[in-house]
Amino acid sequence: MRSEGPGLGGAGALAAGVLAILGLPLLGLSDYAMRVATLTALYAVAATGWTLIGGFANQVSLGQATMFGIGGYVSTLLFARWGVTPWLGGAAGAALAALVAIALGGVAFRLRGHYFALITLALAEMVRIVVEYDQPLTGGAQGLSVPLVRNSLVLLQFARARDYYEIAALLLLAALALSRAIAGWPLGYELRAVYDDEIAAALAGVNVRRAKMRAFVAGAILTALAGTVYAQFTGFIDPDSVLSIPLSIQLALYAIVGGARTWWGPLAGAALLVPLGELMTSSEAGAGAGITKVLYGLILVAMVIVEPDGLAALLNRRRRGARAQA
Amino acid sequence: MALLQALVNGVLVGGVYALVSVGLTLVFGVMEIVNFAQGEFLMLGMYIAYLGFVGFHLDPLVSALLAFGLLFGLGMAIEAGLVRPVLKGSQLGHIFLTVGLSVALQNGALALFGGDFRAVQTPYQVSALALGPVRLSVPYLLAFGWAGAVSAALHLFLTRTGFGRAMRAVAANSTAATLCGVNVARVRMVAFALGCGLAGLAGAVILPYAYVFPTVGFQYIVIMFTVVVLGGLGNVNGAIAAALLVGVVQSVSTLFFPTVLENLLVFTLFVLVLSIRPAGLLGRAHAL
Repeated sequence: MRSEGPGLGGAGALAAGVLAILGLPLLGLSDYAMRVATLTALYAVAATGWTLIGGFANQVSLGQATMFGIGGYVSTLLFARWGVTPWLGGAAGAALAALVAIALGGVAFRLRGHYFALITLALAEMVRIVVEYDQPLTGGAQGLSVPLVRNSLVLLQFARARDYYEIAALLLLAALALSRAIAGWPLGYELRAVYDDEIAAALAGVNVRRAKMRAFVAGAILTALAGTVYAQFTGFIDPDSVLSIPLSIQLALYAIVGGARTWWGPLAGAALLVPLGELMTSSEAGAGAGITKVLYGLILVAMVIVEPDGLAALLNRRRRGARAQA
Repeated sequence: MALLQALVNGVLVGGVYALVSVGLTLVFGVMEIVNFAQGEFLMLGMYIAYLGFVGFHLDPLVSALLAFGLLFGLGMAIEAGLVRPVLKGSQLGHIFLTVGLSVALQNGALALFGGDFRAVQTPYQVSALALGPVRLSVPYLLAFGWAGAVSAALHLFLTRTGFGRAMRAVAANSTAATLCGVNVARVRMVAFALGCGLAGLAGAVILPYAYVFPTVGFQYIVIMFTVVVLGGLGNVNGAIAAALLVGVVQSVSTLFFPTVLENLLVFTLFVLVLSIRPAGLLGRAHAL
């Protein structure tokens, strides 16, 4: 399948989408619903970060959670130990994530395909082990709590979920705008060329390594920022919730289900699956905590068999079919 | 003396790692798929042996055969129903099919059995043979024996039987194998099923000394990946040699490092080998 440029509607549709995302709190939803919406937005941002490299360039990373965790841990540590506002902490987390991405990419981009997936998984596990081991600094496996201050824009803490949502929604719009812009930039074309055939891309004059690195670093920054807001929002992080392989898989899952080759796919996947997951977790009331994840796994299996390019491709196929009939 | 003991333990454990890893490398050699769910098949084998022990007083070393058979069948079904449709597709599908399977199986086990750590009580559980100053733990020794027997059988199968040779032919060059009249689809199915079956067998064999819980596969998958990459993805003999090496490195490292960091060392080895010699220490990928 040839992937075209940005796509998905004209300026009108885009404006409507932006208004819908920002205006969601006006619907007067419950605090719980707004919590779910906030989580959805944050995971969508993190999944967008994965898509830039995993979807656009087909460099399947299994370690995106590392960046999410770095965002969460850096801002929380700076806040808890030295009272640094998470606004600055988030920036520091994003900067560190960018540096880590450069270092990890330096090692991992020598490899392709399965080897790349394997090494990203290993590197992510190494980060998790170190964080768990260095208990005096990071709180180890027990995790870290964010000091509670309640309702301070300066310290990025609010009493109501809808205030967090507005922050998350702004971050989401920024992430989507960046992803859409990249898809249209020369970098987007380079990444698609890498997707199609890395060797051919290199022969055609694409600096493959540079293109991958740029996408990886941009994605790392987005995911780290989502991690910072997530930590503030939930008030608690531990290696399982922000640094684990299952989280890496979950982020890729959102992108793949929505459409990993489009800028809006990660949002579509997260908007579908995060509320579904929350709904199931709350309704089964802890009886069998595994069921939701079983479903996630099965959805992932079904999706790659039916349409590895996700709902986006299914929609495109139908649209093209309708046009052909007209 | 502690060092000698650690070396011996390392070799014994390494033998089991070999058993766990040959399936993974076999599947990669034949199908060019990394089975990320391999650890979960090991976990299923452990639960089968556990249920066999609790329900029918079967020794895990006996239910190992049962685990092999059941997982071989499951593997055939998974290959035909799920893997085959994505084989021609993109890399993303190859990777996330088995990743999705792994998530589903792991959490299915969690829903079914709960998160408890379970173990069986065999009569030989705590016994050990003294060999001079070195003690050989009986459960480890038995597991090592099983691993050796299965590796030998696998070697004979791959080198002496027609079907085994066909499998090596597909691994070397599937197009050429097709042209020579090899039924590649059937070879792939059997290879995948064999990979699953071997993981299941390995799971049963380690139950006398290891706890079973839904995410146990993840502990082993880490080691499996390291082993198969060290040995060269797709290289069965390489995997066996690498498994012994990893067992020894891990066991000796516990003398010098805290156990929490044990896996860090294995991962470091893994990353180093991947970045310096992606084809493995023994070179040549694709040599079954």
